[in-house]
Amino acid sequence: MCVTCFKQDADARETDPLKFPQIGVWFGPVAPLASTRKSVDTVIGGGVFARVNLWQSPFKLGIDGSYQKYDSKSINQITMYPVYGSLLYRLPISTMLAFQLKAGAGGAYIKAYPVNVQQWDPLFVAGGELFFPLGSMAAIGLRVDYLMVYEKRIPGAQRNGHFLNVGLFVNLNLDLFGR
Amino acid sequence: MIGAFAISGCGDQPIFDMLAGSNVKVVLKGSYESNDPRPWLAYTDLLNDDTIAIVPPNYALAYNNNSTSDHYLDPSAYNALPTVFNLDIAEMKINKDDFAPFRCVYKCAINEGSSSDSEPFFNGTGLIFKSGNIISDKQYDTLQIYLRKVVMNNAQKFNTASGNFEGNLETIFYEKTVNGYDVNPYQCVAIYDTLREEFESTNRVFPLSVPISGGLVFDGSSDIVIEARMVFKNYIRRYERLYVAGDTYNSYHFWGMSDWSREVRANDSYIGGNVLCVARSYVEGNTATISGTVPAGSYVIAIPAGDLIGSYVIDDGITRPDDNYIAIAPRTPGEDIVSLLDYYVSNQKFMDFYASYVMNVNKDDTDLTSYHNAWTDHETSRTNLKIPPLATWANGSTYQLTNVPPGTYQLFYSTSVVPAGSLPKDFSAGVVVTVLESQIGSTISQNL
Repeated sequence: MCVTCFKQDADARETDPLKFPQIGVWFGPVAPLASTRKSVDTVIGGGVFARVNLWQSPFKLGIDGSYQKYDSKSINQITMYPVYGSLLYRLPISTMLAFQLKAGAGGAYIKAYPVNVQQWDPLFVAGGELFFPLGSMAAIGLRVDYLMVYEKRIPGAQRNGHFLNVGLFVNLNLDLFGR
Repeated sequence: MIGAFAISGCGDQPIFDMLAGSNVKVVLKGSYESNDPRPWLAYTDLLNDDTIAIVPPNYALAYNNNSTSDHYLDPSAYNALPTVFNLDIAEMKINKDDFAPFRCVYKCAINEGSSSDSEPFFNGTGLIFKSGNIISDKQYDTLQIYLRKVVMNNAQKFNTASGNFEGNLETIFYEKTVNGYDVNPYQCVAIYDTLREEFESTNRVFPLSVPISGGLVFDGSSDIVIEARMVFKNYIRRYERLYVAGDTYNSYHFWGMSDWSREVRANDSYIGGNVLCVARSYVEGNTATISGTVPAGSYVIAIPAGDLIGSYVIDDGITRPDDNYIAIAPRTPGEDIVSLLDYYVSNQKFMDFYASYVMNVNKDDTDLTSYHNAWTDHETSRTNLKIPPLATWANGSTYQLTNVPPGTYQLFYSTSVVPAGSLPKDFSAGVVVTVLESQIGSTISQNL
């Protein structure tokens, strides 16, 4: 039974490269939003990610990590390493392009200057990705994510961190399970 | 897994609160007064008196037949206040933390005698220094201003043999040649420092340590203004120094800070310790005005109610220790063998005397009359001299103090005439005035 399932899955996956496991890299402008805008400015950031499809459903599990170092015109600096897992849902629009929505959570390791603090903070993410498949091996695309660093859990804190990550990405579809 | 991540191992510092809204506006003013300063007083020879010289008096006598004063020349045709005050600031720090790492250059006009000064640095408005960042909930007590150059024009060069004017002095300011003389290198140490072992690590203007009156704690949500005042207006005087290059002997006349606090005498090679300063902070918009009547032509100051007026007044009883150390360095010799040998003998005697003098100034002993203690007392009294956080000048018979934050103050007015180059030191009895939170934005009347 299982062997049959796998074979059926494999057949299905063979025809849809977007259902293969994927690894990729992205880079692009990362910007502070709302109250965080007053502290630091927009810079270029980048990261890596991996995706695994949940069977044949339009859902995927993903894991993302990136490096973002924000500067400011004065002396504020925030160096942030977000690491999060997410659930992605591919919209059932069957065209050459694929569009998927993402929601996730994880943590961000933040170093800030001049406050000289290094700590982990919880992170919540929501975003979307637009894919342009390049054959069956790869895809490029555009991703937009909103990251919220949840600090209001700290008694007395009045602000969270808000960031927008926009990027171009390239991913490889890994034909791991073969035929 | 992610949930566990989120809960365990996370920090407890609100980073975004600490960084947020921490921009602080710094306003620089070049006057003793925090608003409505006294107009620039016209030049008088009182600003050019005998204690100016950084030149050996014997030399003046020999070379200019000038027996009436210590300095070389009385070129009265060239006596005039400078017309431009140039200031080059490298950066500012607060409590030695990075604060505003921006270089700022200011060219300010000195409008002598003008009753309405249009120069913001000198008319009480102030110049904005690019704002800096501070951390909330931290106590800040000192601002450090790194003065790179202080250049004033109307600096002249004279030939010592003939007494002739040889031209205006020029220097580099903001990467351009300007008329003027940079007094900052001489302002960086005082005669006390040059004799002390810590001379090499002492620098009084880079950075200039500006105490913040009352301290500053930022609560993270208000617009704070730090007003930093350096006393330059009506506090400058002329200095003279000998410039020797090969066979050329020139006398340089230039403008620097008044030596009312740390007196400069003939033979001193440094004129430092005379940039007096103070800073205060207030929340923008959270202030009131105090005004009223006062005898015309007096300074009105407001100090925190808990302070003593004595801290704001120079201690006349403690003067600079006597110069009975003076052994004038011998003149460089002529070309014949006799004067060369004379020079070596005099120089050796001078070095021996000077060495023991320097040792005395550095030796810490219990003899209260020792040189060390006399110099230490003098230095302590001058270091402890504070400039009042709020001060103004009453041209007519009314005064006003603006941007007064809530608190309790004692108000005083000066009771004796204050010439240019001095600060007020005789004050009336104090009157206590309280500014309540409910009085913000209004004018409180208090006649003195």
